[in-house]
Amino acid sequence: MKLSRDDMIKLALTSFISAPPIAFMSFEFMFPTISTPSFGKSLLAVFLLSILTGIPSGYLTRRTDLAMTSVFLYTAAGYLLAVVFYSVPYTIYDLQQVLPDIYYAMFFRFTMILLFLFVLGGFLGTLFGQMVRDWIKTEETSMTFENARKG
Amino acid sequence: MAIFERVKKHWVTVALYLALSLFFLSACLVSANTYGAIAQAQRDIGLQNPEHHAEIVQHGNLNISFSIQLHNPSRYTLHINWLSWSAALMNVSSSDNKRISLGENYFGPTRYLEVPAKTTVNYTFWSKISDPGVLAKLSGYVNYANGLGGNYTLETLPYDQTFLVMLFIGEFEHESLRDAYLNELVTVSLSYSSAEGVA
Repeated sequence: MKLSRDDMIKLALTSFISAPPIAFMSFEFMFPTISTPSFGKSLLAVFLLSILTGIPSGYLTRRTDLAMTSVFLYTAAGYLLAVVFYSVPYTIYDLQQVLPDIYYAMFFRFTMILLFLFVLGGFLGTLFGQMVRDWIKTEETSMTFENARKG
Repeated sequence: MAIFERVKKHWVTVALYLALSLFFLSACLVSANTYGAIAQAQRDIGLQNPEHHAEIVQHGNLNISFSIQLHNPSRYTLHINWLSWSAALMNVSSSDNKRISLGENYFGPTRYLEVPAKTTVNYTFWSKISDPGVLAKLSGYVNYANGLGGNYTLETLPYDQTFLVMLFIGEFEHESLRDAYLNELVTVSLSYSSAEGVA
């Protein structure tokens, strides 16, 4: 897979911008009772939001392989961001860790299905985004031809 | 650069994309802030200034009293699930009835006790012991202890006073049986024992 400088920038920007929804969903999945807003650990909501998160990278990226790579990148970035948000109270403010087991839970126990849903939803989202872009382009082309024929 | 031209071309999509990202970034910050406040509350909520007294009152009765403060510096109201106080004397000289119960009190969740945010609430309990049988046991213990070289009176006996409280922080859900750790997150259990101090 060859990457140009623009592709690299695009991947970096996509990872940066798409990471917060993934981070929030990861955090919310651990702490549904204290998160604002809360999905109540609904996997369906997580899946639908994963699709929504994947749409922009599909819409803005012409190459399918790049769009799918961006899904892996923003999922990883978002997951790391969730760990950072969880760590904030007892790293920056020097507070005691309320639930020490959550690190273990975040990395190994609860999140395999969650990560699978992020990636699967992201793939579907990118495909949907590319389809939407193609529909729009087809429509624009046909309108251009129609206008030219009328004119 | 080509990428900026594409951003200009698809500015509506990019704006919506950024809005989505910013919304969830804000949600992350708010949620992490809540988590930080809960961690702070877990650290700072505590029992302080315990005081216990025993004194002889009218007709030779014994009055045992206890007071303690529950300090809540957090921004959340605390909902007391239950609290209990008990006073007793451990009678080591007796082989069968070691614990002489002198008073107890219990408040369950149906009392809806609360500690408002950033306040300190004082709890006071007392028990008046007028039962001649219990007073006789206490006097017997005084005689026994003094016979072993102690210097006790009914007012200076080492009464064991215990205060336990379990409370929930704020209005967060805490009844999920499926995820017990979520209850743990917003639950504070505090205890004081005259023998061991605040724990």
